[in-house]
Amino acid sequence: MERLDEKGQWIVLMGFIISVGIFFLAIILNQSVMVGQTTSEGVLEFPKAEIRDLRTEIIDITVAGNTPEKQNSITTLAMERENAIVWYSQTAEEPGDIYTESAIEIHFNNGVTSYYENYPLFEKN
Amino acid sequence: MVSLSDSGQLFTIEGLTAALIMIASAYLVLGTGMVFTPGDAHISDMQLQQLGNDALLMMDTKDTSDGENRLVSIVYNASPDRPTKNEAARSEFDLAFTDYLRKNTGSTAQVDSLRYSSAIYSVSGGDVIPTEFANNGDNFGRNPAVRCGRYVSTNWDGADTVERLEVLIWRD
Repeated sequence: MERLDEKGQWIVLMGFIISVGIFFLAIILNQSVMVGQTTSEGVLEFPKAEIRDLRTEIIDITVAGNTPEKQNSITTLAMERENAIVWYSQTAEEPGDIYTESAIEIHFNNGVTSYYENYPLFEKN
Repeated sequence: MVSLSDSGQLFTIEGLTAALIMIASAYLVLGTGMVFTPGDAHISDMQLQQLGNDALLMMDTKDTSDGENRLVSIVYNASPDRPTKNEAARSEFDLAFTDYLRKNTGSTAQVDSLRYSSAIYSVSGGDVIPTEFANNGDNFGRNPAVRCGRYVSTNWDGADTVERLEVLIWRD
């Protein structure tokens, strides 16, 4: 067995530096499994598909002729199944020279995301 | 500066071994505090929900500007006041939806592990009434499922109302 001496200290120092480096790399590797969590949770939380779906459905219904039954079932289903307040209405028709103009107002709010749209409708005279 | 020599190798090995032991123990201690699996990141849930919503959107799109909307006709035929057409509506939805879920390029083998269960929600007298609809497989293992839905405006049980077709999708 060798006796204790002070030689080779820089080798030990390098060993320590490298080990500290590996330690921080290990922490980075440990965190890497969380990559994409915030992104995917944001995508899941944002009701993109719901708003698009309601929007097309409401526009189609209003163009074809809205009824209280349809309006009631949309608002009830949105509240019961998606916890979202949905309301829509058609503004008064303003006759013009060529087109009669009105608008569909669409409201959506699920407590996190709110959406409002004023969709213009032009009907040829 | 000390010149490079081959003396003190035992100390070097000892130093490296001690460093490795320290790293290993620190890594173990930090790692046991929180077990975080890739499933917790909800990445696969997000992809599954996109896939389901896209499949329903494709079925809810008319082939031509005045053509028949496939999802509307399926829900119309699934209405309880048309009992003779219910079975055909179920199998048509099952055929189309599983086909969309299994779409791939064909260049690689894809494990067909997606299962679904669906229901149609309608409103009657202010109450939401669920009607069980087509399904593929049972979720005995309680695998995490995502929910996709689509509003459909058609004649349901004798009244022109809006219904909601909801699908739960999970990986078996």
